[in-house]
This record gives sequence, C-alpha cells and structure tokens, in this order.
Amino acid sequence: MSPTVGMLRAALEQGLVYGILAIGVYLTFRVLDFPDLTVDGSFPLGGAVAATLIVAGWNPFLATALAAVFGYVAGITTGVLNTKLRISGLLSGILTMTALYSINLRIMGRSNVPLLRQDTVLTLIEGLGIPEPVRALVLFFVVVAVFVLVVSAFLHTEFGLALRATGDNERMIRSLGVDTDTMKIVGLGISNALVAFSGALVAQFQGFTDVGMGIGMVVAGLASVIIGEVVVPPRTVVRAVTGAVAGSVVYRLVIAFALRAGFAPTDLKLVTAAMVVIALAAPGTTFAPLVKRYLGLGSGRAAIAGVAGSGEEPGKRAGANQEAR
Amino acid sequence: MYMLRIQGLNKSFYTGSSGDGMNGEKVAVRGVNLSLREGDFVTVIGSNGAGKSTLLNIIAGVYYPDSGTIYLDGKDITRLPEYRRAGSIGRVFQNPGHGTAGSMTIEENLAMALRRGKPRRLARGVTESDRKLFRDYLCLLDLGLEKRLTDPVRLLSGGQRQALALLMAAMTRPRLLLLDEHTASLDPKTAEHILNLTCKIVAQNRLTAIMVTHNLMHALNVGSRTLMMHEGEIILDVSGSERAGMTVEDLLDKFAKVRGERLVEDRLLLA
Ligand SMILES: Nc1ncnc2c1ncn2[C@@H]1O[C@H](COP(=O)(O)OP(=O)(O)O)[C@@H](O)[C@H]1O
Ligand SMILES: [Mg+2]
Repeated sequence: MSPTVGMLRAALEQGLVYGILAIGVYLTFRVLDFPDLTVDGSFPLGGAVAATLIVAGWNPFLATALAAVFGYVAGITTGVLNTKLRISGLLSGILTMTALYSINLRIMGRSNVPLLRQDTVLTLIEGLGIPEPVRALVLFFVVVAVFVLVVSAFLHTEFGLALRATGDNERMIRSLGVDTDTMKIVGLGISNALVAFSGALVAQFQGFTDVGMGIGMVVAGLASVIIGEVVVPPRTVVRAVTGAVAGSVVYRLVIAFALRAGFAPTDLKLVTAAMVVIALAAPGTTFAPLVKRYLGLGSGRAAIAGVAGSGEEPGKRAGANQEAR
Repeated sequence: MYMLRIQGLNKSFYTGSSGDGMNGEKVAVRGVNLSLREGDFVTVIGSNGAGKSTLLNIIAGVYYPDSGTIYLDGKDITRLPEYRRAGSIGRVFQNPGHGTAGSMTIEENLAMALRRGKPRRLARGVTESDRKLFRDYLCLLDLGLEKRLTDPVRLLSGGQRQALALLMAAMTRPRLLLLDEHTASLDPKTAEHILNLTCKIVAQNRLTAIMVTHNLMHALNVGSRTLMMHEGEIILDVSGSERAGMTVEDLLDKFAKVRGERLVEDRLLLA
C-alpha cells in the first residue's frame, strides 16, 4: 500500500472515531448553544475507564459502554454547576475538566495505561471476517453511522425538540412548560457520554490511554463542527449531525497534510486553534460563504444562497458562544 | 368564584445604583389587587415603566413577588416555578422573535406548543395527525402558512411570526392568556390583523386574557374591562357601562390628572 493511501486511511479512521466526539461537541456548542469545555476531561475519562476495566479483564464492549456512562456523569456535573449553582457555562466546564484530571489519574493509577496484548473491541471483531487493513475503518464507520442515525432521531423526538428550543429560545420553551435546567443537564450529559465513548474507542485503537490525551479536544471538535458546516451546509438536523462527522474527517485530512507539509506534531494544536479563530473572527459569519466564494465551490447561485442561508444564524451563535453565562 | 385572584402584590428591583436617590431600589409593582372571572378579557394601559410587564411576569412565574399572593383556580401558585404553571398560562411577547424558535420549523414550533405543560417523551415530535391539525389551525390565520410547515420560522416576517406565536400560546386553550404589547413592534396594518386574530381566538375558545397595549383605542374597543397602571399601581379599573361610555379623551384626561396630582404631591413634599 502506498504511503498516500495509508495516510488517507489513517485520516479516515481517525476522522470517524473522533467524529463521535464531534457529534457531542455539536450537541453542546450548536444545539444547546453552550460552550462546554468539559470535553477535554471527559475524553481522557472515557479512555481511562475503558483501559482500566479492560486491563482488569472486563469485556471491552462493556468497558466502552461504561466509559460512556462515566462521561454522562461528567456532563451532568457541569450542567448542575451551571444551572443549580449559577456558575457561568465556561467556568463550569473548566471546573469539571480540572477535577477530571485528578479523577482520571486516580482511575488509571498512573499517567499512561498500555493496552498491548489486551483484548479490545478491535480484536474481538476479528472473527467477523473483515480484512485487517479496513477492519478499524469498517467498525468505526458502522458505529458512527449508528450514532448519526440515533442522535438525529433523538433530536426529532418531543424531548429532542425541547432540547433544541432550549438552545434557540430558552424563554419561549420555558413558557411552554419545559424545565430548561433539566434540558441543559441532560444535553450536557449526552454530549459528554459521546465524547467519553469516543475516548474509549481511541484508547483501544491506539493501544494505550494517556491522561494528557484530552488537551485541545474541545477545539478539535469545534473545528470539526465548523468545517462540517462548510462541507455539508446544515439545512436540516440530519445534515448538521452528518456534517459534524464529515467535518471531523476533513479536519483529520487537513492535519495529515499539515504534517506532510513539515509541521511538527506538537504544532498541530496551534494550527487547529488558528483554524477556529479564523472561522469565528470572520465578521457576522462563519467562513462557509467565504470559503465557497474563494474556492469557487458550487455555482454562484449556491454561493449566494449559502451567504443568505447561513449568514445570520451561525455568526450570531459564534458570537454568543464566546459570552460567559 | 374567581379564576385569577391577586392580593397585595409588591415587587421591587434592586439595581447597583440609580439616579433617583432611592439606593437603587425600583418599585415595579405596588400593592396590586386584581381578580378576574372566567372569560374576562382585560386590557391594560400605562406609560413606560408603569409595571405592566412586571405584573404579567409575576403572574407567569418569571419573577416571584416580594409579598402578596396569586391564586389560579383557587390554587396558590405564588411560588410555583414558571415551567410548572406554564400548562395553564399562554404568553405572547412584544418581540415576535421571543415567542418562537427561529432555527426550528413551523411544525416543530407548533408541536412544542401542543405539548404545553406535558412531559416531553422520546416519542416522535411531529406526527402525521399533528400535521393535519396544524394545517387546520394555520388556515385560520389566513397567511398561507399551512403550506410552509417545514420552513424554518426565521424565514417568516414579523407579523407571520407573531401570528404563529399567538397560535402557539392559545392552541391548547390555556386557563389564562397573557399578551404583552404583542402588536407594538408591527406595522399598523399587520398590528390590526394580529389584533383581529387575537379577538377571534379569544372569543372562539372563550379564553380569559390580559392584554397590555399602548394603543388607547384598542384598550377601550377590545375586551370587557380596562386597567390603567401608574408607578406600579392600578389607578383605574373600568368595565360595563362606565367603560362603554368612555372615550380615548376621557382616558387621557384621567391620565393627565393622576400625573398632575403626583406633581402637586411632590411639590407639597418639597415645600
Ligand atoms: N429585570 C428587571 N431588573 C431591574 N429593573 C426592572 C426589571 N424589570 C423591570 N424593571 C423596572 O421596573 C419598572 C417597571 O417595568 P415594566 O414592568 O417593564 O414596565 P412597563 O411594562 O409598564 O413598561 C421599570 O422602572 C423597570 O425599569
Ligand atoms: Mg412592558
């Protein structure tokens, strides 16, 4: 296999497995309009829980599911800090994330847990007859597809509508009898459950978990969501959720190309942060319309429709995201 | 038996500092007593800052009063959280954007309103039978919205959005409908249309309603009773034949008189 194909495959694998995290970030930043920084702690939490349980001899599937449950608890912690103790959303996330650093070390017992020669979800599916080179790819694709379908369906349930309205117009949905505190708490819980699930899979995929592997995950997730809005304009919920995953794949490709172009791996967080800054700084807009115009993607008509369609909403939200609440 | 009974309601806001030398305390509602019978349609007027919105917000549970009691259907709801009394109280706000979720579709907005006050389940949010119902309701608005069920609400005009908000507030026939200057941000023609819709919906569903308006003619022509608020107090409460004989000029006179008296009092105090 040529190095380029290998590079593309690796980017695709990572894009899909981190795509689950991107769906989680989409739920908080876009659906709930809540800038949740818990992610940097709940991602390694997922890895820590799964790795520790697997080393202790648990079934990897069960360990991965439990990692998600722990992520859920981390998310509702941030939600309770914000809604019940009236701590700003940003600070609530930072507090949980900071506490999780100690908790993750407690769970792991040290800063790095290797999973070499352990059964993982990847070794357990060996018997299914999927050829080795694409085994992880197929598994991640199936898992992420299920999450896209389930999350999209969820956002169209009565509960899902109330959740979306909480991010869109809190006053209105409260006047319709919805306890918006509960919506935020549950929404944050689900988001961080997805993030921890992603962390658990990543740990098994890379063969170890590290207490520092969450650094910059919020920003990476946000970059994926924003890129996703360019690649798949989010006219419907299904498109938006799919876009988060597509954005994650494109983001990993960009990172792969940045590495090839000579960036050191340690520079990548700077590259990612710069991407997000550019996206948010574009006045009154995400860079969807800009990118379209300059790259000449789609017809002129579509480009204009893109400006009209996404000009108001994401820009307004990008601004709102930066506010502490 | 009154459906809504408000006794001795007081509410002040405390701001960091204020120019009026009152240690940043601002009395918004002062000693308000008010009782409504089932089917009453009350209009409320008063200058800016008179406390009209605060009164409606306290009834809806957005704020709790400093003192006083609110009974709805004989039940003390004074300290009930807003979301727990929302099942019986529909609201329309001044800003059309406040009553609807712009990023969601017309049918999604209506579906959320259809479950007013009920638990939100993991069942499909908009069903086929809901859609049929929504089309029928939207036809009543006469704005062509029944053909646009899956359009995001942010694409609608202010008037269309306010009509939708009105429908959402009234469709489950809440015990009480609170309208806070809900035509004030619309152009005169649209405002007239929304007001007509309001009267139609209130009459057809025999709703009990409180409507704040800055339009004195609407205040007298619409509904069955008119209140005037000034500096947190209800200073005029007319209905029946007394109201029927009133003109806009009479209201303006009353208003000027109250203000004048206050001025005289102030001068006496200062002297
Ligand atoms: N949330 C609030 N915080 C501080 N002051 C408020 C608040 N809401 C209302 N007020 C003050 O209370 C008074 C009454 O306001 P409001 O009820 O909005 O009057 P109206 O609706 O009649 O114009 C005003 O002086 C206003 O500044
Ligand atoms: Mg007002």
